[in-house]
Amino acid sequence: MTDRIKEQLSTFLDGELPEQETALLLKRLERDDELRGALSRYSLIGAVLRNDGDVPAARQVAARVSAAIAKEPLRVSAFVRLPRRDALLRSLAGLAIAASVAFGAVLLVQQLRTQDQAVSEAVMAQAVDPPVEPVSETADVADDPATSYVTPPATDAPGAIAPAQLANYLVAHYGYATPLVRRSVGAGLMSAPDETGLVDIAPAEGQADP
Amino acid sequence: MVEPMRAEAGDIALVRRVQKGDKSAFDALVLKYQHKVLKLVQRYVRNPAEAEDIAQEAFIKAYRALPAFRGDSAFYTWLYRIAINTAKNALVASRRRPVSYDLDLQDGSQVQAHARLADTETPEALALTDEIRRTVNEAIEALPDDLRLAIVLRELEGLSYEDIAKTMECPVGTVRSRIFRAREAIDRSLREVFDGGLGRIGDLE
Repeated sequence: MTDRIKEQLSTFLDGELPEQETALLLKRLERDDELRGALSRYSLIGAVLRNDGDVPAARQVAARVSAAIAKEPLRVSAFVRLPRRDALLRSLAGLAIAASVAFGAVLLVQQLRTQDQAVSEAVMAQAVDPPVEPVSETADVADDPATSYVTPPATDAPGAIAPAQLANYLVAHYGYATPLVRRSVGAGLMSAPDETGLVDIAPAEGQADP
Repeated sequence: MVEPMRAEAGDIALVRRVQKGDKSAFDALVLKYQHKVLKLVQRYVRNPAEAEDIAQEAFIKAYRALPAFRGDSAFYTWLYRIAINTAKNALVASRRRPVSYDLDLQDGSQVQAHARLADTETPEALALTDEIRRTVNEAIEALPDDLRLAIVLRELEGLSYEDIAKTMECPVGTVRSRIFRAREAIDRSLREVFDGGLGRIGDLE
């Protein structure tokens, strides 16, 4: 056992030995009884210096404990089983999913509100404007969209969807929605037909047919 | 005496190694703390052989419980509690009473208990303990000033190597070397004690 290794041992006892050197020293400690004896005595010196009272010299404790735990099954802690990087990635993935769901929910609510507003404006426009003759499906509705029965009037609301499209979309996708969305959207369709434009659109389409 | 923060960090690093399955790291922790644990256990059980059995049991319990140790407290604080509980349980099992060092001599029962426990201490164990203390103290006094100051700042004041380097106005590497040389000088005297008949060096592990 060289002085260099014993100096490492002394530094290790003080918790000042770098990690890599510690790993090598631990391997050496495993097979070097003389080194183990030195560590025990260095520790004893510290205890005596700190005046811990009449410090007894432990003669066989370490050897007996070492022999006993050699027979023990390997005990790996749950705290270190998962590498920190993996744990972090999993946390981030979870956060990303949660954020996506929340963002999607916000978008859906905003869209529904915008659609409601667009439909209301369309209904109001139809109520105010006098009835007009039906136009053919090939007519250029862009000239006067507010008068078309099959193409609900466009609104200035950003991202607004035509009531007919909205109604068709909602009915078509009703089965794929979550129970919560089904309840709220379904209730909206049932309780406020005027706002969705469904009542107005159906006869209009009928009138348009020859 | 406050445990140095660096030593605690070193302990935690060893604990993490054990928790990953490195048993040699636990061996190192036992070598480091066996004297303190034995000293602790001997507050309850003065018989050296019995105290060593209890200390051994405490360490094995600690090893088994170590996977659940999160490091919220210092390792020795945690080990201390395990050792105390193990010693108390051993006392209950043997239907004996714990003995405090702060004996009230007016209390007849404590005097009686102390006398009974003192009987179990072997003359060899007492002589060895006294000799160790005397040898260490003499070896410290014989050290050159720079070595003595370095090890005193470390062991008694609990300073880190960096703080000792600032205090002694020298590089950290010099501090590391001085502390080692101080320990080695004391250890040389200590080995003579064990080789001289009071104990065999191979016994002290």
